[in-house]
Amino acid sequence: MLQHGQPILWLIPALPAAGAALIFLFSKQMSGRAAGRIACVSVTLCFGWVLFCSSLLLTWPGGNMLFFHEKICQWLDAGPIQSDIGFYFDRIALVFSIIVSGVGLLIHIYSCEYMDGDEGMRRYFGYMNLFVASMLVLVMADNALFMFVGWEGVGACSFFLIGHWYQKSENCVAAQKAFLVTRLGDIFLLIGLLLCARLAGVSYLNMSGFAQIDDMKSVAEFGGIQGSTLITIAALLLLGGAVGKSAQLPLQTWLPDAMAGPTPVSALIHAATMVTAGVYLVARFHALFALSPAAMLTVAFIGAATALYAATCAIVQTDIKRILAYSTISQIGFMVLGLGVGAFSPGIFHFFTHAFYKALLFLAAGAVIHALHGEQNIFNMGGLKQPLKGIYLAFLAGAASLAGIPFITAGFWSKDAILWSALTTRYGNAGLYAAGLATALLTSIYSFRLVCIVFFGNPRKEHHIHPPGPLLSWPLYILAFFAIVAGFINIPAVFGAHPAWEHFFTPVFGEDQAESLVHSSGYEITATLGSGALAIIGALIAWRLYAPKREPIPAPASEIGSVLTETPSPYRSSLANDLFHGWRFDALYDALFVRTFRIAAAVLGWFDRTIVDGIFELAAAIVRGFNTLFLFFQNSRIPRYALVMLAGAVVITTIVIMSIPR
Amino acid sequence: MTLLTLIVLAPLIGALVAGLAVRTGPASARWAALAATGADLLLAFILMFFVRESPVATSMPWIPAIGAAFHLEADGLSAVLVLLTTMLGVVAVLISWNEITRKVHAYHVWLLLLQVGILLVFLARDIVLFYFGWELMLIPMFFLIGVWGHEDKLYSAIKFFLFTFTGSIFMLVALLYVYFQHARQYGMYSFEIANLLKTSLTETEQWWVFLGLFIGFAVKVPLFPLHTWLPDAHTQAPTAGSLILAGLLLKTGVYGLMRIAMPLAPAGATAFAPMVITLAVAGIFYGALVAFSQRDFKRLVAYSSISHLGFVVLGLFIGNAAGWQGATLQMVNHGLATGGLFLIAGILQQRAHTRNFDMYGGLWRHAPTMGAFLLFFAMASLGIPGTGNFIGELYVIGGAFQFKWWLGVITAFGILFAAAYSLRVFIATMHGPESPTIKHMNDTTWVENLAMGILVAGLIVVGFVPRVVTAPLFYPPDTMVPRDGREPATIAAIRPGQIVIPSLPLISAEPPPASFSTPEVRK
Repeated sequence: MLQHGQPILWLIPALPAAGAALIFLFSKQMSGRAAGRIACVSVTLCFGWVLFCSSLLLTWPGGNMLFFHEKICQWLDAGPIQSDIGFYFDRIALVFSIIVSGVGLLIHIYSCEYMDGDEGMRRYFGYMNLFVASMLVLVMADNALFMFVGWEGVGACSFFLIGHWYQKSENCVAAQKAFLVTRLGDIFLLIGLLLCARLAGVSYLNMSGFAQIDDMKSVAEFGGIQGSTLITIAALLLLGGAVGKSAQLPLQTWLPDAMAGPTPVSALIHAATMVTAGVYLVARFHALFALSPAAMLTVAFIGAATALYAATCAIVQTDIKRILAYSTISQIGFMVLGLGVGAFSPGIFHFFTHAFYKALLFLAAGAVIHALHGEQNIFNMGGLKQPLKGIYLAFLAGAASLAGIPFITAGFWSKDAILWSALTTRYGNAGLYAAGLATALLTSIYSFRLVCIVFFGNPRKEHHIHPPGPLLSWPLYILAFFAIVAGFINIPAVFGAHPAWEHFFTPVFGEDQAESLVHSSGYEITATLGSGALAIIGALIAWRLYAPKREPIPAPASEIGSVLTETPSPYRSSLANDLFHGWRFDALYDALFVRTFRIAAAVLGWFDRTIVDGIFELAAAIVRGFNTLFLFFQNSRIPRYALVMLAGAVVITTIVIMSIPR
Repeated sequence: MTLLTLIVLAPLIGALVAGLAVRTGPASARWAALAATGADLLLAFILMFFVRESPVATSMPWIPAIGAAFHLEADGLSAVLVLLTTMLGVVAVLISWNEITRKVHAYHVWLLLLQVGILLVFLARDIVLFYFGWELMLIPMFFLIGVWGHEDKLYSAIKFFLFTFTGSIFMLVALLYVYFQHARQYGMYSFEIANLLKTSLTETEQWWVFLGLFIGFAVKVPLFPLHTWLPDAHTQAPTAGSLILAGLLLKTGVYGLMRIAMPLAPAGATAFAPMVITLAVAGIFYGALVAFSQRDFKRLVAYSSISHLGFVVLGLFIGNAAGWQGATLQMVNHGLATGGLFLIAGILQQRAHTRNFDMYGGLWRHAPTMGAFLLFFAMASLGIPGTGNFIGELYVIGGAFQFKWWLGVITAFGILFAAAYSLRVFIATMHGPESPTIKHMNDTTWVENLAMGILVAGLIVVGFVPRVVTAPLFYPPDTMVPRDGREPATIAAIRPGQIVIPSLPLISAEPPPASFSTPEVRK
């Protein structure tokens, strides 16, 4: 399917991969800064090439080029497992790879200053580049098994980078946890892929098969023949993979702990790109999901539940990064909700805007942490508005976008599209919509709680503030720009605008989705205004609760403890405590799985040593016993032989005498 | 063709030179061993090229009175394993370069003789020759563990010897039975495997023959619960000993199953398949869990071998092409990745004088290169894509899924367990606060880097071009049908252009027709 004149696609992941290889191979010869420069250059080239490929795809003569497809070579070939190394660049891949390389580039630049002077800077940039390469393989692979290479690759890079500061044990535990929990999801994904291959033949795993509506019709017929149960199971298994990678219920527990990594890592991997791989997966396999209403409902339900769950956790956290981590879980829940109700393009739209504002929030939080020399507890911050003016403004833009402040922010438009779909599409219902609205309100509250506590009032603790340099600031400003304006490309038609985004994905998701996206002017405007009002109400609540009181904050030293506990009333109740610990999922899983595993391992270890080996040792002991026995008779001493001879003679004589018939 | 003879002779000549040069310094033995294994590696590469066209064979009479011949033959499977053997041979010499300082000449003589034995096993097409190689492996390994091993070396060496030797007696009895049956049916004595394959055996006979062979090979694999010699032998062996033990000796057991036990008694294999599959799957999880509970680096890796080899045996007995290819791939990958882990364990022990994880921690700071290698091998061991292990495990899981879906599902969770212990190896060693007991740790030397680099390169090549291993493959006899009588997936799955050996007589009362010729490996 190679088009004449199409660009070389393998170059896109190869560029950052080459950067990583260069850094690793010559890491002894280069300084950390040089590694940073190599990494930035390779990602810049990669981003440029992505833009070039994208523009070529969109401006192809004739105007109906749907994808570029490039097959490199055959890779796997064994019975049901067939796979090529090849790349597939359609509009989904286009959006994801622009975000991965573009946001990735900004975060690389930011890292050059943030990580400056760190002992493991070369290692850091090597893995960051490797991550970008793996992520690009993930979103550009032309078949599901090759996609799995990227899928596992990003998981491994996430493991390396969470454990970047490896000398603290808790970082390593967090890294291990992230890897194992996501791997559990990966196993479901793998089984799901095998089932797909078994259901509909090997070609089923090819991305091109999924991307084209015509091919899907035959699969749909096939689904009718085979019975929908297996289709549903296959879709749910794939969802298992998505749930693990995207930290959705019930596999969400790893993401808050993953904040142990450096902040730019959290921004790139655990906010903007890797954790949205689940969204990519469901969107890519949309045709399979669309065949099973039960699976769609499950997706929507998991998304809504996760969104609400994580929002309730975020509202009581005290660590700035954990707040953002829970908010990431919650926002991905929104995306998944969108996908689940059949609103694929709004789901991806939310991914798009979220990548900007969440990366921005993380980077700004990182700048704050950097300025305060590693302080992460928001109740030790405060009054940073003046000293960190630029960061404050950028953070405000990100928080407003996250909260969905109406009309002016990107987050508002993307979130609203999902909410509207949750109410009106054929999979949507009022319950999902209500959950979405409640989440939106909570989101607004915790966003502005964060802003109020961190930036307003007086400093709660003395800090020597380290001002951010240009490499730290400029990526923030660029992201802040997009966090505001990125939403304008898909303002609903009822507002008299042209929803470019929705049309952009029509060739991919087809009429299936177009018909499910209902637009009715009166209601839609009301709903939009309503959700916008919610965001403002949330902001006002946050202001009321957390805005600085007039009286001066008590002096630090002895009072720090009380400041921590003197936080608003919800903290005292045990409910708040449960929320703080993420509804105690960790404790539950620890008791159910981790401890069971450890005990089983210990018991089996004992069993192996004592019982299994014991049986063989026993056999050896018996042989040794005979040895001792026979040695008694044969010790090469005359008296012993005489004795044995005598005994033998006695025995034989006795036998002879006994056997004489009477 | 003399190529095969040369491949076997090269390490033998090396052993002779190393032995004769005993009066010179230790360097002479090292260089002699390196030259011999290096040359052997080169020859193995050449062999790979020839095998792509057609199998390579050489045969000459040896002991005509009993029908034994010096018959060597290499098809795809043999060639791949010969390549693995020679590769690990070079690595073994390199890794011993600084580690072995006592009786250097004798050490290298044993090491090279060991390689001769392994090569004979992989190349012999005559039972006597095969058995000769099989037993030849025992003696050098016994001495390598017993003389150059660690604190408990004598116990482990004897345990290793007794286990495998006992197993091989069962094997010998079974083989002799087939030998005499063949002589009775055809009126001539022959130890040629190809001739013995023509022997017609009743189902009961096959059952017993397979049992005997299986005991012999399963001890070597080792299959749960016959594995208890392995952790002791691995722990006590010198680094190169562990490397060859894990990388090659275990593979001879698998190879025996593939080349002798399953073709010779297919009905027996079919009858035993459910039991073997159960043991293999149990071994996957048992090995992984026990590995996780270990405190000793080498013991952990030894138990992980049991888990990995469970995948291999499972792949063989599910009776389809995916499983068979996966098993072959896993043999190679396990040799490289687990070999790499043993190298690191040995290097660490040499520097820190302990294998206990509690004594390690935070070593990355001092030994970043070692850390990078360990990270790679640990990731390979847990089957990260991009290394061969992923593909091997994927094939086995896919094959198991094809055989019985629930078996595939169960097996897939094995890779989660593998992740648990593999990460533990890495984190316990390199991560965490700096260990107070290890004040200073030198990073790896360039010789060590070279040795490990060879393994890394091998894993990456297999990870992206698995066809180098699977393309010229020896396929399972198509009589390996699952007991429930379903169509064997094997035949349908084999694609044109691949090598298939013709079907073997399964169970026939009357002797095969006179026109039945020696099965040839056709293209």
